[in-house]
Amino acid sequence: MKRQISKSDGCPGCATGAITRRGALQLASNGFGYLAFSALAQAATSLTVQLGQPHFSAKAKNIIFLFMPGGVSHMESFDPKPKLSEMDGKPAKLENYVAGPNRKWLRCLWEFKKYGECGAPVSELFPHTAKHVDDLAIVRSMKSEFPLHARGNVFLHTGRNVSGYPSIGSWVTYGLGSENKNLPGYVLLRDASVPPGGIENFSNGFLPATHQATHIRDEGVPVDNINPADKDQRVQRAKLDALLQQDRSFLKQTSGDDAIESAIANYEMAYRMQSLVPDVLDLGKEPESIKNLYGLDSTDKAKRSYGLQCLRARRLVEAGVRFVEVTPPNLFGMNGTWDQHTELKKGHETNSFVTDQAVAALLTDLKSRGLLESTLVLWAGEFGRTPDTGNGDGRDHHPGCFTIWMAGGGVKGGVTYGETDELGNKVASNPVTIHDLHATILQLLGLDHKRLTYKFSGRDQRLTDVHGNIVQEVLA
Amino acid sequence: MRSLLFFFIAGLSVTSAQTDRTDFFEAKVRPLLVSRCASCHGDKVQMGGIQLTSKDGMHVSGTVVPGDPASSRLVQALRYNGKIKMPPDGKLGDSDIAALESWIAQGAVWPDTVVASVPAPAGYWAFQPVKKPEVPKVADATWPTSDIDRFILEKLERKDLKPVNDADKYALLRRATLDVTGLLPTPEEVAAFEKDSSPKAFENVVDRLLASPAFGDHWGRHWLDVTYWADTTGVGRRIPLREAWRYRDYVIRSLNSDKPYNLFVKEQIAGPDKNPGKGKKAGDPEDLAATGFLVLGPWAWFSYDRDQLRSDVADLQVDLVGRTFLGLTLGCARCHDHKFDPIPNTDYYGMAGIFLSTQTLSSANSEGGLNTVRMPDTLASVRRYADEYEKWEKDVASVEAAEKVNQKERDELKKRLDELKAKPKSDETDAEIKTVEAQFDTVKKRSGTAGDRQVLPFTKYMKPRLPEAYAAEDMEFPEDARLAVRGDAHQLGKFTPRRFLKSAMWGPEPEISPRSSGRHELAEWIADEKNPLTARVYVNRIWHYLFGDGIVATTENFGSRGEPPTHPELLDYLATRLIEDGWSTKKVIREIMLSHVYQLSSAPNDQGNEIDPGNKLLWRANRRRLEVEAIRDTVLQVSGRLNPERGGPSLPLTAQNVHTIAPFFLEEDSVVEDQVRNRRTVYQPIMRSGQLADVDILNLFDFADPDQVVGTRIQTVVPTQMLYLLNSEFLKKQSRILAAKLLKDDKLDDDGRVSKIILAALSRPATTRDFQQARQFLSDFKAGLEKGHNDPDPLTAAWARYCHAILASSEFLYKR
Repeated sequence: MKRQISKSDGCPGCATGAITRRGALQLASNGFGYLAFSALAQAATSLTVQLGQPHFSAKAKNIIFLFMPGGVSHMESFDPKPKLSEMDGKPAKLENYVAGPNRKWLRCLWEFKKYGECGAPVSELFPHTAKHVDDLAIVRSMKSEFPLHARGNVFLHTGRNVSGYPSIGSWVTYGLGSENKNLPGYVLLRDASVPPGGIENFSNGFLPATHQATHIRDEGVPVDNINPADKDQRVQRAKLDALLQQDRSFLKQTSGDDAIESAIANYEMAYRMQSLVPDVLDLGKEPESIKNLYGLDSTDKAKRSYGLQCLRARRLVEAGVRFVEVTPPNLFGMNGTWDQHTELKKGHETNSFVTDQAVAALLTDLKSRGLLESTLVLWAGEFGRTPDTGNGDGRDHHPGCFTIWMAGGGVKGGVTYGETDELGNKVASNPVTIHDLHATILQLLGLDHKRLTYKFSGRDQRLTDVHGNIVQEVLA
Repeated sequence: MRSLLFFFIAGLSVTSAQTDRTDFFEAKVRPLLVSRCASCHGDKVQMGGIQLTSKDGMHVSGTVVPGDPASSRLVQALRYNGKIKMPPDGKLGDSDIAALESWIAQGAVWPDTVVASVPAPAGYWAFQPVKKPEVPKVADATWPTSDIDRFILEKLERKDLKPVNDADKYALLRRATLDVTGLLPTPEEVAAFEKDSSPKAFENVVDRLLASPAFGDHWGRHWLDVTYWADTTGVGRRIPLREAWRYRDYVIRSLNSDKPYNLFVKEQIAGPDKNPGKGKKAGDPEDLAATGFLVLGPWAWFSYDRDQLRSDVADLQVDLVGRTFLGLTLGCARCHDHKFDPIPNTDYYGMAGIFLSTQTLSSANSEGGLNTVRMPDTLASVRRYADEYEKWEKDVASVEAAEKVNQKERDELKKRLDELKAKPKSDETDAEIKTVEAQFDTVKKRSGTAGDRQVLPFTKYMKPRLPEAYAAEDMEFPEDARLAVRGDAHQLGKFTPRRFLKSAMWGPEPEISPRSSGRHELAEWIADEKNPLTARVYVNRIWHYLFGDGIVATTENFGSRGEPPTHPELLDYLATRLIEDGWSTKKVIREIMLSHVYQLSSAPNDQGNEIDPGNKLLWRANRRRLEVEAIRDTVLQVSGRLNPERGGPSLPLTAQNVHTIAPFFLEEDSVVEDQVRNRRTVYQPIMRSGQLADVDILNLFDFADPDQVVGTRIQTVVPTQMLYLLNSEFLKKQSRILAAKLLKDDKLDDDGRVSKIILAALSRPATTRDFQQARQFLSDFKAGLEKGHNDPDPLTAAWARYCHAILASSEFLYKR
């Protein structure tokens, strides 16, 4: 046995529930292919704890996280600040990391309109998403701690500001197991770029490797090593048979070792995955109307890429993948595509052009298939942008307050939660920390953030560490 | 809420109310006070003078007014009604608050015992002095060949378990070679061992292996697993640490020279001894890199909140030292007294003070932001530096000159473009715009850029430096740490004198000089032969690497939440032997490998499976998978491509790989340089998260996360590993190389080739079954070929696939 795995009540550190090595193998294979050995199944029933079960029943079974890296301007998306227009051009004296003598307030560059029955205001940047406000719970009082992209992103994903901790996607697949034993539990859909913070944002940390994100790229070979080394299927099979024959002789000689048994089973599984994964990603059977809904008919390459990944997200959720994360094409610099210190107008407009239609399409599509009820959709970035400007042309990083939204599984639609001050500088009421957001997401998925633990380095680790309060007001 | 009231009222109605109130207090109230209040209002810290862990402390300024919850300030604070809101990190649940109110309403009964905030250390085994145990008597006197065997056999005999037969010679040689060097025995070594029937045959093998520099490569990597070492720093971004290799090489060198472990420990905490004393040899000057152990870590190199960053770094260092050397999870005591081990808050901050008085980060926000020291100059190093510097100046000048020319051209083209765009639209101007734009792009490409990455800033970045190492130094003004509430560097309590673990003391606490950080004293204390943990933790890891499980299975947690030792006497025996043998790592490994138990077969039997299915008592050898490094290294070894070069820098610092906007960092798609790629994995560049594509096998086969202390790597078996083995370029390419090598020898027939592959990859002679399987595959493949497979070299193609199947087989991936 390598490590104890447990899910327990109460105080961090009070874990019980050792599992056998066989159990560990079984767990390890849970997220990404299941071993259909009766011996393993027996071992699983003898576990003192059950994994892959929610703590309580919940509507959301899957989650799609639409990650918006770089820092979307909250004042110019979902949190209008008319006062900024009055103050436009006047000297601003804010206490933050960019504070300086020559900073000025900057008015909102886009107009707001009210939408839906709830009348939530949305800026012109998001005309498509705006039509769904009655399904959204908009949180305007988010707070983060780090004004830097890499740390902000890692904090948003892992709840920590040091390396080595599991991503929320890994926690969720660890907590809920996989619905489809032949597909990974945590999938990241991205273009060639990786947002600041790198692979670490999607890492399993100390959780078993099976919970790490499987990256699916928009172009080229979608998943590492998924394309068979030999194109000819007969050659493939002959090679695999030679290998399995070799393994079976070895297994006999070793009197049936469970690790060797699972190796054999895994080879068969890997062989099947070679065709299964491409099948799920194949849009051949999607009608044109659906493809066009996501913008796949666009002349813009980035827009097609993001639309493709959003449509794949739906297909993956449909196929039973627990946690799908989508990052947008990186069009501006290395710091996340929404990072407009300059050319705010051009940058934000390009990004909204690329993403808004597909995001709305995803909501529409999920809803029409009845999947929105069981799918939590989260739209969030690492921080917001400053209400003032240093150069008149852009805004800087602002972890002091920002906006995110959630929709679908278990979320109360048409709600706006939390307030910022009249200039969009600080949270004015109902602050929501990253830990609170994590606790709420887990709650929506049927997981108690205090009980979702993994014993590592002598204590029961949690996604929310020792923090986190559930935002009850956004729960349906 | 209702059930709570019910509990309370029901309690009152039965027997003595006083007893029930005490029960209620113990069940509901005390746990709340201890878990939510005591860290700031406990025995150690009493913020605002209020102590919630004693009867007297509670009554200070009306905090608790027995019988009157409404007037008790505690209740107001808990309800978040007034200005004071407690606990500050989040309101208690309603039922918890109600419980406290009920308790106050009923008179705030306080039983006459103190809140036990630290578990009693009394007799906990890991804190007892190491004593050489008596070697037990065993019934079967013929089986043991060493005292180690007697400790093992004694436990087996008690369970009526018989050890299995010995491993065959091939399995034993393969196991031993992989365990010591991480490589396979060569066909010649297999043949020599096969022939050697002397009683010393295996002993000679072990001695040969331990003397090989490959020992350091393999065991050095084991040590790196229990450090935070990597070639990059930063949270998220891969900021290259150009000198990090020096610590990696220090570790490997130390293991190869069999540096006494106590010295190895001291050097990594306090640095090499500058005055080794008369008659003693000064260490290698390169050993200055030893404290890279403390400096290289998963911390950000920059933060707007400098105090918190320093505090977080010191925290990670306390935890590192605790887990690596002492097998204790000291980090738990940052926010509260350790819940399970006798480690109070004050011990933690005592140690944190030592690291807060140590310079880890440099004050300048330079590359990496880590503290560096100059390596001692040698004539050669200064000369090399002068030459490199001269060359570098020329490089910069030439890139700058080229850039100037290009800039001029670009400006002119830009100007022309603007003019054209200002003209009225016509097909003619449109065509010209296109031409000029194309010209502009050509110039842009040639103008000192590689792709879209700038050559000039990169060239400047590569400015040569005199040799330096990341190393820790004492702060000019060492100071004690202050207790920080829940680790928050802005909520500070009392100063805590620098010190180490009280409950692991064997004599008076060592005094720490007020003029130094205390690292020296800490190092001496850890490396002392009387320290109850140091030697035990180390020999346990050695055992773990040779058997697959430690005597204490939780190699980094010897605390009460860890696993108890399966063979406590054996652990102490080995710890004593380590010290007796002058803290020699190699001697301990040698003694263990020469034991009978190490040489057992891994094949199980029914009796053993019945009585001890987990093989905790070691009635057989464990079948263990090769470490990921060994998988990669042995594939290269078998294909003949393993580059034997050792040591030195390995970061791929090229204009293509380095992103040249501050902070300069390595791109995700960085490519390892050719001269490094086929070296052993321990010499590949190691990122903090997500390894480079050239060593992406590390991402799949449970490589130790550099951000954690990983004595025991988790072992997963997942289909993505199999996809790698089946389809990766690496396996495909090396199989092809191996096949081509085999086919070069035209004296070999098919069976001869099979014999050769099996011997090289599986370290045993081929069997009839191997020949049959190979023939079967070759004929299957041929049949496949006839139906339209079009490889220009079908024979190599066939053999490449056969080799591939062998290299991906379990027998290759596991130690027999």
